[in-house]
Amino acid sequence: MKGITKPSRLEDKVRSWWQTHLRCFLTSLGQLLRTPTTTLLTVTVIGIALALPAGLILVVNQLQTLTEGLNTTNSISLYFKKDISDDHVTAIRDKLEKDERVNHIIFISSDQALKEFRELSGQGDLIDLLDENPLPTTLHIVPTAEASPKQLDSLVRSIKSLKGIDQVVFDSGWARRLQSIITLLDRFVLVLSALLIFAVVLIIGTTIRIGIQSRLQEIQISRLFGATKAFIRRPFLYSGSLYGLIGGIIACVLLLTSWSLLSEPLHELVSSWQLSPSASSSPLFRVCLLVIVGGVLLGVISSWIAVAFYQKELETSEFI
Amino acid sequence: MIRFSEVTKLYPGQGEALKSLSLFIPAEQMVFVTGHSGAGKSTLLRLIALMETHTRGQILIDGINIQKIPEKHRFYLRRQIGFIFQDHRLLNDRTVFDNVALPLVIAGFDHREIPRRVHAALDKVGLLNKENKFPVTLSSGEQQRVGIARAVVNRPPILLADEPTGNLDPELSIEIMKLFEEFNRIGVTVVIATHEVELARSTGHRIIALKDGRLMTPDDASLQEHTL
Repeated sequence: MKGITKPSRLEDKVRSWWQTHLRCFLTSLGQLLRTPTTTLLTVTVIGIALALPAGLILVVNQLQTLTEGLNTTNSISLYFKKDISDDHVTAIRDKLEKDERVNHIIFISSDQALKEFRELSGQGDLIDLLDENPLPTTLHIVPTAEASPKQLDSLVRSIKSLKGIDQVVFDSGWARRLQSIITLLDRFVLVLSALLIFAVVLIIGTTIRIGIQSRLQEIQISRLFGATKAFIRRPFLYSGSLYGLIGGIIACVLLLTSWSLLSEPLHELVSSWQLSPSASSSPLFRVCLLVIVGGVLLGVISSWIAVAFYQKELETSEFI
Repeated sequence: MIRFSEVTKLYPGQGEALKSLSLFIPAEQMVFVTGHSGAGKSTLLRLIALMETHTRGQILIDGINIQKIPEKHRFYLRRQIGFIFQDHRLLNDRTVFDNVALPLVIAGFDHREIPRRVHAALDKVGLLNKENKFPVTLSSGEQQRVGIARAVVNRPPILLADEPTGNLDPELSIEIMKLFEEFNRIGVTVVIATHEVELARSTGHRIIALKDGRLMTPDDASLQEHTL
């Protein structure tokens, strides 16, 4: 009698493992290529949905590096009174230089300021008509990058209390406002990314669900001939990850194209503000990698969910 | 090999397809299950193939109570059974070769072993030259033989056929029956559901006649008493 044989040995399973996966991968790829238009549409939608948050993350990232540059230009301008002695100025300068909140100080004497003004304005003749130099002696105090807004405020207060000071200018308001706008933008991008990622899960999940429905007969036949849950699930997981992978690659192409269009004006903007051109492309490649890996992961997760929903149904239902 | 003890199958809203049915099919036997449509032939086969679950009673296959096997382990028992449908149920987007290879792929056979086995099965049903064709290009008889090749390629100890000759002319039907007899000779337990009583009788094999979900033939009743 032909009895019921023992399950295949472990080594047989291991040996056939890679064959099964390779076959599955190629079959899934073949199925995607068999309907090129539908596949292209699906992966393009996925690509756009992935590129949008990635692009916004990049923009916010760039803005953040820009404002980091702005913080260091948050200098405090200290204008002395006219009749101040040089010794007094030096004393104050030495005192401030020892302050731990201060990074460095740029000293501009009134003569120097006039000289610069003469050169820059081209109004030398007009200036010659003046009896005396109207420009004050100035200290530009650059705080350390670590100094908090609170510390800066107290620094400004202590400077104001010094003798012989005409005016202290510390215009940090706009920089702070910009900072809070960027924080808001950051949150907005986070919410938008979550929504778009959810959309990608839905797109891939629905596509896989349609795939399951169109291959219902194959699934039932496979199940009848002893296919395991994993066997039935596997091709759909490969399809899902392929959608994610191709979608991710499309997103990268979109990102790289947009970047090459944007980088030049951005560079100009950066240099016009005399900031260090920190707009390097290294975050771009990191984001691209993230998009591709994330796309594949999203593909696997969403197809897993789609199949899990279906398999629950399949287990309780009977064969047609 | 297959033992039914007072098995009842209830379809909600459609009544009982099998009513307290008891029977025994020993290993290596070839059996015909006959009866009119609605007599419970298909249900009997589908219960053995684990395509459905019975409502009451007990089904033993090779000594295993199938009800006690959880769904996640049932795949293994299903691999021991070859099933042939009346309407073939071939996958039309795959070649004859791929259709026949499916059970082997499912069972995780080595890729070098698969062509050998597929060719052996196709050779058996006389379709070796059609392996690269798609099912739709074949005649109904040829499609049925592809279905048979698919069912036997894994060399299962049990072969079930639901109206395998339903769409075929008498000559082809006899040919198909001869094929089943060949498998039976090498030790496969064969159960064939058919409404063609004359064809079944002509083969001289055991006949289990069903009517309204119960056994009709007295000799089967005695056999069942004897074996239970």
